[in-house]
Amino acid sequence: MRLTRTEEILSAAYAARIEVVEALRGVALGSAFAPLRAVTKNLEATSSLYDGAPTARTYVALAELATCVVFLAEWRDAVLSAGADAQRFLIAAQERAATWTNSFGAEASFGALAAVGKQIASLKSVSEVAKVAAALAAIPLPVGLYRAEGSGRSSPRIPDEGADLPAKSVELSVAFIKFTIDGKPLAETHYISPGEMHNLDIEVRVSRWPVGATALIFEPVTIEHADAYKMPVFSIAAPSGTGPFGLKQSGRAAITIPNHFNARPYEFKYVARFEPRGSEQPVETIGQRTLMLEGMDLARQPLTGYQHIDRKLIEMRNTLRVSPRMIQPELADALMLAFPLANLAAQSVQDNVFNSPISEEEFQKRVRSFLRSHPMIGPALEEHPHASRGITDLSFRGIRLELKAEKDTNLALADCERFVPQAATYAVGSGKCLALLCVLDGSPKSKPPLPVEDGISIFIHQSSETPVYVLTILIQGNLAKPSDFSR
Amino acid sequence: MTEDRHPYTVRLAARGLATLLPSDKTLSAFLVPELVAKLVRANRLLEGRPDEIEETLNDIRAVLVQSFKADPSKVDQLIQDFLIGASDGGAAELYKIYDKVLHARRFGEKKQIPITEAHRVAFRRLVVAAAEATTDEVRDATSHAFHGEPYDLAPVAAEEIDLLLGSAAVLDGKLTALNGEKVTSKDESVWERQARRQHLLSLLESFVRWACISAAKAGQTSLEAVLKILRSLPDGSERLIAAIIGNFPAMMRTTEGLIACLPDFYSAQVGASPLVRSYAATAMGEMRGTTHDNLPSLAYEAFCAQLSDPYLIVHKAAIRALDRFDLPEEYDARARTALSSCIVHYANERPTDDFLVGAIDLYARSYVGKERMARNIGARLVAMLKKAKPYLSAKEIQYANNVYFSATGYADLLCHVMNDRDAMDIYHEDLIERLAELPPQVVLEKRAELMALGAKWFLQYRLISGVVIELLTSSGAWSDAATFAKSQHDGVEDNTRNTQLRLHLALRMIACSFEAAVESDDLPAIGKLSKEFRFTLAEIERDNAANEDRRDPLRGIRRQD
Repeated sequence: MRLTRTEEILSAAYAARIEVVEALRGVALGSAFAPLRAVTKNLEATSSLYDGAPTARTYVALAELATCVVFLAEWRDAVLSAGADAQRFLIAAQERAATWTNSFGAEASFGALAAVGKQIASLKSVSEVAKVAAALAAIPLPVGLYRAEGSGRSSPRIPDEGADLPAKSVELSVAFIKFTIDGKPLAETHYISPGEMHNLDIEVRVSRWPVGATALIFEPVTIEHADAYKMPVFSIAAPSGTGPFGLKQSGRAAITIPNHFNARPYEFKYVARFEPRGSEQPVETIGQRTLMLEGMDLARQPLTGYQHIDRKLIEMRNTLRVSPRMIQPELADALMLAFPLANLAAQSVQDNVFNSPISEEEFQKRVRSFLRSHPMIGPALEEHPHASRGITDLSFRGIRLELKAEKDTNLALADCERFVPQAATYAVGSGKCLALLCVLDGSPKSKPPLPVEDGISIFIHQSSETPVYVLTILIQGNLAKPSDFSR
Repeated sequence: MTEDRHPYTVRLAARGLATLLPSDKTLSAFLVPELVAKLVRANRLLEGRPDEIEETLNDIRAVLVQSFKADPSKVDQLIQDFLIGASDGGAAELYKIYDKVLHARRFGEKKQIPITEAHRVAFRRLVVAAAEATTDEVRDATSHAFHGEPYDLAPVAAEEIDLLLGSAAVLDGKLTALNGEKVTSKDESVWERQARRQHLLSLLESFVRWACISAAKAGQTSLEAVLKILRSLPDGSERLIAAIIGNFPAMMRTTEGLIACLPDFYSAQVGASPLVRSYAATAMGEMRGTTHDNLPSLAYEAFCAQLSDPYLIVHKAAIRALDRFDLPEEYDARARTALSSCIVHYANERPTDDFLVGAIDLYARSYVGKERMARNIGARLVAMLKKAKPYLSAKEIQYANNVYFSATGYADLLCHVMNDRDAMDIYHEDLIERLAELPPQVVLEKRAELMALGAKWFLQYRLISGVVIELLTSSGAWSDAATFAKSQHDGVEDNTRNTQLRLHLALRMIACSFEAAVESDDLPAIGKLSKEFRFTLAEIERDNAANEDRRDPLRGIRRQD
C-alpha cells in the first residue's frame, strides 16, 4: 500500500502516549484505574489522527492492552474489597487479550506487546496485575510523526442493491477449426509443391453473427511480397439462423517461388474481420490460423537423393531451427555436412558399402575420401583439428564430426548415445552448439536392417543451461543376405 | 479608411468588412489588394504601438481569410503577386493567411466547414513554401502548421500524398547537402547550423507523418500511394525510408493496411540500413495490440535479432520498444538472452550509458521479478544500477513496490541515489517514501547512513529527518533516534524566526528521549520528559497566541467585523 506522509501530528498525538505510560505506572504502584481508563480512550481516539500510518495500529494495539489492564485493575479492586462477581473482570481481560493476540500477535513489530498479552492470558493472582501494568508501561514504541494517507484503503465499489447489471452478450469470437490442403489436414510445416495450384479449405466457428454484417472475410497476412505466392481471401456470406455457426469455404493456393533449403517456410496468418467496416469486429480470434508452407521442390532439388531421408532431415532442421540458442549459420553448415553422411547411410543399406567390420581409422579414411569428393564440402574439410584437449576426427567450418566404428555388437540408434558426450565436448571446445556423430555398425547382422531414417536423430547433451545438439547418423554395414532370413 | 496610417482606423475598416462579408459575398474581392498591401508593408503603412499594429494585422488577416475562402484562385494569385519582392516579415504575414484558412478545418470544425478548393490551394501553397523556405520568418510561419497530426485535415492531406512525400524528399536532399557542406560563412555558428538541420529533419518527419496518417485514414488507395513511393526511393534515401517505416504503426491498424505494409516492414527489419532497422524496431513498439496479434512469427524473429544487433542505434531502439509491448511467450527466451547479453556488455564497456539503466529495469521487471530478486541476480543488477548516473537509477526505483526491494544492496542503492542532488531535486518525495519502507533489520544496519542523509537534506526536504526518526524508533534504535533528534534541534539557530521550528524539533527530541527512557526503565527521566513535553506544547501555544496576528497570511486583507 502506498502511503503519503502529510502533516506532522506529533504535538497533537504524543501527549496521549505519555499519559498512558504515566497511568500504567500509577496502576503498577497501586493507584486507581480510572485515569488509565480515560487516557486509554484518549489514546484510541488519537490513533485515528494517524490515519493510514503504522503508528495508528501501534497505538490501537497499546490501547487494547491498556484496556485489559484496566479490567485487571478492576478485578484486583473487586477481589481485595470482596466485591460481587469479581471474576468477570478477569474473564473480560483475558478474552480481550485472546482477541488481541488473534489480531496483532502474529506481527513481529508487536513482539514485546504480545508477551504482555500472554502474561494477561495466564494471569492467576491479583498480585500479578501490577507486574503486567509495569511491563506494559516499559515497552518503548515507535515515534510516529506523520499522518499518512493510504491510497490502497479505498474499498471496491459495491453496486446498489437491485441495480440493473448490464446484460452480458455473447462475446463475438471466431475460432479457426481446421485448414486442409488438397484434402489433408494442415501439418505444422506443410509441404506443397511450388508452381502448382492446391486446394485450400477453411473451417471456422463463429459465436454469433454481428448485426448488419454482410460477410466474414479471412485474409492472409504475410511478410512475403505478393508476387511470391497466391493465397485465397475467403469471404463467407451471412448465414441464416442464430449462432454459433460452423462455416466452411474453399479456395486455391500456390507458392510461386520455391524455398531454398536454408530459407524459412512461407508463413501466412489468417485474420478475420466482418464486412462492412463499421460492423462489430471479433473480440477474440482463437485456434491455429497460421499456415507454414514449405515450397521446397525435393524432386527437382533433392538433398540426399532419398526422399524419405530428405523428409527426415527437413524435420530435424525444423526442430533445430527453433531450438534455444541455435545459431542459424552453424545449423546450415551442420546440415550441409549431414546430407552426404545421410546419403552414405542410405547407400550402405542399399549396396552394403561396408560389407565387413573395419577399424575406426579405416572408417575415417573412407568417410574423409567420400566427403572430400563432395564439391561443397571437400575444400573446407579438415582432419584432426584440436579441440578441448582432444583431437577431433573431421571438421567442416568449425562443425566437428566424430566418427565411431563398432565391429562386434549390433547397435540401435539409442546405443549411439554413449558417444554423444565426446562429440558435445568437441562442439563446446570449438564454441559451437552443434556437432555431428557418425557411427558405423560393422557387426555381423542376424536381422534385417533398420529403415535408414530411423538411424538418424538429434541427441541433446545438456550439462548447463545451454544445450549442445549432436546430430547423429547410424550407418549400418556388414548386412546379412536377405535370403539368409528365409532359411 | 484602409489607407489611413492609424491602426485603429484600419482595424475599424477591417472589422466592418469582416462583419459584412458573410451576408454579402460580392464584397469578397473588395479592397483585397489594399488589405494585402497593408499586411505586407505594415512597417511602412501603419504607425502605432506594436500591440496595436499586431491586432490590426490580425483583423486584416481575418478578412483576407474570408476573402480567400470565397474566391481562392483570385486571392491566391494576389498573394503570389505580392510575395514577389515582399520582405521576409511581409512574406511570413502572407503565408499566415494560408495557415489560418487550414487551421479552422484542421481542429474539429469539419461539420461547419466542408472541404473546399480554398483548403486544397492553401495546403499546397503551405507545403511548398515550408519546403522551400530560406529565412527564419518564413520557416516559422509555414512549418508551424505541420506540427502534430493532421486531425480533420487528413482528407486534404490524403489528396496530396505525392506532394507531401515529394517535399519530404526535397528536404532530405537539403539535409544531405547541408551535412556535406563545409562551413563557409563566418556568420553562421555551429548552433545555427544545428538548428537548420533540426528544422529540416523535423519538417521532413512532419510531412511523412501527415502523409502516412492521412493515407491510413483515407484507405487502401492512399496507402498504396505511400508504399509505391517508398518502394521507388533509391537506396541513399534511408532517412526518408526510415521516417515512413516509423509511421507504419498508423498505417498497419487495419487488416488491409497490415497486409499491404508488412512485406516492406519486414524488409526494413532485416534490411542493410541500421537507421531503417532502428525505425522498424521503434515502430514495433508503437503498434496496437491487435496488430501484434496478427503479426507472423517471422516479424517477431526479426525483432529478436534486432535485440542483439551490432549497431547501437538498432539494439537500443529494439530494447526500448520491447518495453512497450508484450512479446509472444515463445520468444521470451531469446529476448531474455539478448537483453542479458546487452546488459552485461554495457555494464562492462559503458557502465554510465543512460540506456543501460532502462535495459536493466526492463530485464528486472520482465525476466527476474520480485521472487528471484533476492538471489544473486538481484544483487548484480543493483550493483550495476549503482554505477549508473544516480538520477537515472532513482527514476527506476522511485516507485512503490518496485522490483528491486528484496535485492541485496537495495538499501545501499537507495542511500546512494539519495545522496545525489539531481536525483533528490527530481524524485525526493518518492525516494523519501521508499526510504520509509526499509525493513527494521536494514535500518539498523544502515542507521549511520540514514542519519547522515537526514542531516544532509534536513533544510531542503524536512520530511526526511522525520522519516529517519520514524525508521529508527520502529527498528528499536531509540537512543540513536534521540541523538539524531537532538542534533537536528541543536543544528537550528535559536532566533525568533526559528522559534516554532525549534519548538517542534524539541518535541521530536523529547519523544525520542521519552521512548529511550521507557526502554531503559528510567523513571526519573520519564517523569522529567513528560513535564518537558507538556511545557513545550504550552510554549508552542503561547508563541502561537503571541504571534497570531503577525503570522496570519491574510493579515491586513480580512475585514474587521
